[in-house]
Amino acid sequence: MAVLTYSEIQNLALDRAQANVTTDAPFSSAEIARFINDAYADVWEIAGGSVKLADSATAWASTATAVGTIQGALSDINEVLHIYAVSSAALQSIACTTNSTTTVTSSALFGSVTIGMLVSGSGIPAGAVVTAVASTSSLTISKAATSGTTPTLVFTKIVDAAELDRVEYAQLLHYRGVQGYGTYANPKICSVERASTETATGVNLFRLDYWPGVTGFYFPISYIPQFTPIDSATITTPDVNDLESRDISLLTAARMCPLIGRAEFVPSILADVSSRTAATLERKMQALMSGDQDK
Amino acid sequence: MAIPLRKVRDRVRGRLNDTDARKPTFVVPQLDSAICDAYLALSSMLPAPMLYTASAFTISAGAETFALPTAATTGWTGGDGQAEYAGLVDIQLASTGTYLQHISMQQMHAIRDGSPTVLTAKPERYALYEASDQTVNGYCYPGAKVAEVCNLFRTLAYDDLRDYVGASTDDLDDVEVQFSRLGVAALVQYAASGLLASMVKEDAELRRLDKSVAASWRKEAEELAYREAMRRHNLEDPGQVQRWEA
Repeated sequence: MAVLTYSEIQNLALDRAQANVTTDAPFSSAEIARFINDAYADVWEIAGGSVKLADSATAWASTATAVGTIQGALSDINEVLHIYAVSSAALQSIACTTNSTTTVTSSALFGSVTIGMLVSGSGIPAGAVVTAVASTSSLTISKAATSGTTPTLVFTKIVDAAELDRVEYAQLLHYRGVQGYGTYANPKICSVERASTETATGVNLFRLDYWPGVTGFYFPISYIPQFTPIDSATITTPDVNDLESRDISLLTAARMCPLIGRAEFVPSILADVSSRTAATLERKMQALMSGDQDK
Repeated sequence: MAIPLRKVRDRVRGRLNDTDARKPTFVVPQLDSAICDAYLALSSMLPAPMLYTASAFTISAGAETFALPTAATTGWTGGDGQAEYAGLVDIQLASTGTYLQHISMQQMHAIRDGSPTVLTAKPERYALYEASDQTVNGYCYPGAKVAEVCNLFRTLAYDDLRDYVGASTDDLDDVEVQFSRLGVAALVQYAASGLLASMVKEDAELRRLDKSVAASWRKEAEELAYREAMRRHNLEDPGQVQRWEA
C-alpha cells in the first residue's frame, strides 16, 4: 500500500465519518485541513520523523570561521543527527544543465562525482543527492530540479567524511580555552545550541560551535526536521509510512465524528488504527488523565 | 614501521565500541591524550631506540666543554625538535674514528685537578651531565687542540606525541607512533584498557562492554610489550649471552 496523499486521506476520513458529500458538506476545506494536520501531528510524533540531508551552504549561514562558530540557516531542524567536516577539496563545483527533471547533464563532465554525494545550487531542492551516474556527462538526482537552466552545482562528498564528535557546549569551551592537548588541522568536536534571540528571523535557528577553530571546511548535516503541515496543493504527501498515513485519516475521522453527532462511530474507527499508533495514543491518554508521567 | 596516531585512535575506538559520534564516551582529544600517555608508559618498558648522527656536534678549538645537540635530525617524524637523551651515548671523533672513553664527572674532576689551564690535544675521554632543561653538557679531556667534529650514537627517549611541532604539519592526526606492529598492538590494548577502566558503569553497558575485561586487556598489552622488548633484545644482542624467551 502506498502512502496516502492529502486528498486520499481526506476522502477516507470523510467516508469513515459518513460525511463525504458535496451538498451541505458538514466541514469546510479549511476545517478539514486543520483536522488532518492535527492527526498528522500526532502520527508524526509517534513515527519519530525521518532523516534529511542538508549541504553546508543550506544548513549554515557561512563557511567555517577561525573562531569556530557559525550561525544556522535552517529553521526546520528538530534534531541534528550527524555533523560532518568536509574540506573544501572534497567539494566539486561543476557547470551543469538542469532539465526540470531528476536528470542533470554536464558538458564539463562529472569527473569523480559518485552516488550519495549531496547536490546544491540554483534550482536544486534542498537535500538532493546523486542516486545514479549514467555516464560522465549525465546523472540522476533524488529530487527533480525546479527549473531548466545552466547553473554551477556543488557536489559534496559526505560518504566517507569525518563525523564530528558531539559534546556539551561547556566541554567545547574547555578545549577552546586550554592548550594541554595536541593540535589538529581538522575540526574534531562540536556542539549545537539553539541560541536565544529577540529577532523574529533568528528564532528557531541553531548555532554550530566546533573545535579547533579552523577555516577551509564545510559542515553538511543530517537531521530530523520539524513538523510540516500538508495541504492539497504544495506538500501533498505526509512524510510517514503507508500504515501511518492511513492512521492519519482514521484519527481525522475520529476527530470529526463527535462534531456532527456521530460519536458512536469513534470506537469502531479507532479499532482500525494500527497497533503502534493506538498503543502510543493510549499511553499518552492515560498519562494525561492520571497525571502520572509516562514510565 | 610507524603508524599515524589517527589509526591507533580508530582502533581504540573500535575496541571500546565507542563509535556513535552523537553520544561519544570519549572524544578525540581525550582519546589521543590517553593514547599519548599509554605510549609513554609502554615506552618505559621497552629499550629506547638508537640514533646515529654523523657530524652531530663540534668541540671547538681550545675548548674542553661541549653540548650534545638537542634537535632530533633524522628518523623522528614525531619529534618536537627537543630530543631527550635516554642514556646510552657513544662519541666518535670524525677526524680519527676514535671513540672517546666515557667517564664520570667525578673522575673528570680528578683528572683535571691541578690543571689551571685547559690542556689541549686529541680528546680521549668525556663526561656528561644533564642540566635542568634536559640539555646534555659534556667535558672532554684533554680539550680539543683543533676543532673536532664528532659523530654521535645515542639512545633517545620516546617523545610525547602531544608536543609535536613538526615543520610540515602539526596535525596530531598525522603524528607517527614510532612503534613496531607488536608495539602498536600493545598500545591499543593498553590505552583501551585504561579508558574502559575509567568508564562509568552506564557507559560501559551502553557500549556492551564488561568493565572486568579491562584487566585482561592490560595483561595482554604487557605481554605484547614484553614480546616487543624480547624482539628488540634479540635483534641487538650479539648472541653471546642467553636470549630472552617467551
